[in-house]
Amino acid sequence: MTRTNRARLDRYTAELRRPVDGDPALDELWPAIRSRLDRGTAGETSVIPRPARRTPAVTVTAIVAAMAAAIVLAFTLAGVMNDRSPAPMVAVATNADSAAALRAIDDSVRAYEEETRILLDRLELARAVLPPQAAHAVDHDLAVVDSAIAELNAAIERHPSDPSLRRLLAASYRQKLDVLQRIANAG
Amino acid sequence: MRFVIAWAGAALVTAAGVGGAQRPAPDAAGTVLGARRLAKGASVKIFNPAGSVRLIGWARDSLLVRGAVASDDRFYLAGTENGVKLGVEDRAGAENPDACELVVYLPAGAQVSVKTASARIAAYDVSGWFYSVSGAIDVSGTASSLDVESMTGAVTIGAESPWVRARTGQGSLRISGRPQDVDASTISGLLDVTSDAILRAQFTSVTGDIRYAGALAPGAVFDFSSHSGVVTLVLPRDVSATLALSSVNGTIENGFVSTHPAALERRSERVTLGHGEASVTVRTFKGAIRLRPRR
Repeated sequence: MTRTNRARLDRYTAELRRPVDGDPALDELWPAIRSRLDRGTAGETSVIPRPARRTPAVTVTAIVAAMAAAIVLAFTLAGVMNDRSPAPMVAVATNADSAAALRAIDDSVRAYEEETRILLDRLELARAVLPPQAAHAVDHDLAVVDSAIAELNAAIERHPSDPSLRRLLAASYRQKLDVLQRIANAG
Repeated sequence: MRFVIAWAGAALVTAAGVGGAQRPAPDAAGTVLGARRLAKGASVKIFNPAGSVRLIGWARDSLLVRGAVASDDRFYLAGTENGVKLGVEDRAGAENPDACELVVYLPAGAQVSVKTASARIAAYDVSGWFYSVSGAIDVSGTASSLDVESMTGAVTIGAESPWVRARTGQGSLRISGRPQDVDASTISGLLDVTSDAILRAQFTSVTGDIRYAGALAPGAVFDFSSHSGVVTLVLPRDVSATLALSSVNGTIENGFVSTHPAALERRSERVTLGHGEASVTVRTFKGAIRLRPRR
């Protein structure tokens, strides 16, 4: 994990550990993730517990960095997945509409943008040596995701306070990271 | 000209003891490429560029590999009781590698890491990571965890597993069987889920359609997200769930017409069915959302 990502993660950890009396939105945001952070197992955070799996050594650092971003994204995308109890949808909507939630989504999107740029740079060589069919498939998938991201960014400019758009944007960046990880796996 | 190693008789397969109604029929033939003792929780790393890889978990503490390898290629098997690597050596620069067929019997508790370029993968009672660039992947039986990914090939998962992660790009992704926690996504491929056993799930696509047909257990949590794919939920008429449906530019069709939305905004709808015991969130940018009762 890079120093920048470590610092970002620390900031979020501190934010979550901070008393939240004055911020009910954060207080209700995914206690399961907060408890993991308190246990010091933030690196394990994901939408669903992930077993150990093979990861190409050349991209270990990049993937770990991406996982740090995934932790941030988990605040916005996957909180509901980490709590088996059927959280009232009204409460979810209230959180989503709060300024704190919007900020968190914004931050996660920015983190994802940065991590995808880092991965793109690091995987440039791996992408160049892919078999033609695989390279074509990757280019196609990246084009599809980039097109969606462009559409969502344009919509966010028109409706900056719509949390649904930002969540969809964060989901698109997650998809882009998946594609980039597939490049690493294909090498 | 390619020379394929001759097939051996079926006697060794019979000795392997693979049987049972649900299990795939054992191969009637196939040269024994290698065999060794293997611990039940061992890790098994497999690589085969082209052809096929067939994996069958069995209740034995041994590994048996059968199959056919092209004469220009070399099969390898190395490792210890706790972990082995096997497969067909990758010939650098070979644009169209010869097809090699591998059938691997291994302890059901082993964790595999399988990678192919165009070779299709079929696994039964095997857990682990399955990856192919363009080959189709089909996983069934029982597994402790499944991580399945194909760039352009189709993925079919019909297994019982507490944890499933699956990814495709342009290929279709079909999930059935009895998975519990599922994280599945496609880029433009169809994501088709038919199961009554899922408790927590996240389904995502960019342009691919998502179709879910199944029950929603009390307390289950589902999250569907697509940019422009159509999301269709086919649910039992007596389902008990609260659904938050929102689409920025797409339409929302609610086939449970006898129910009244708890909240209604432009292009968003909150629906409570029954006692609202499961939670479902669906978000799209411009894909339609269709909620339909099961017939």
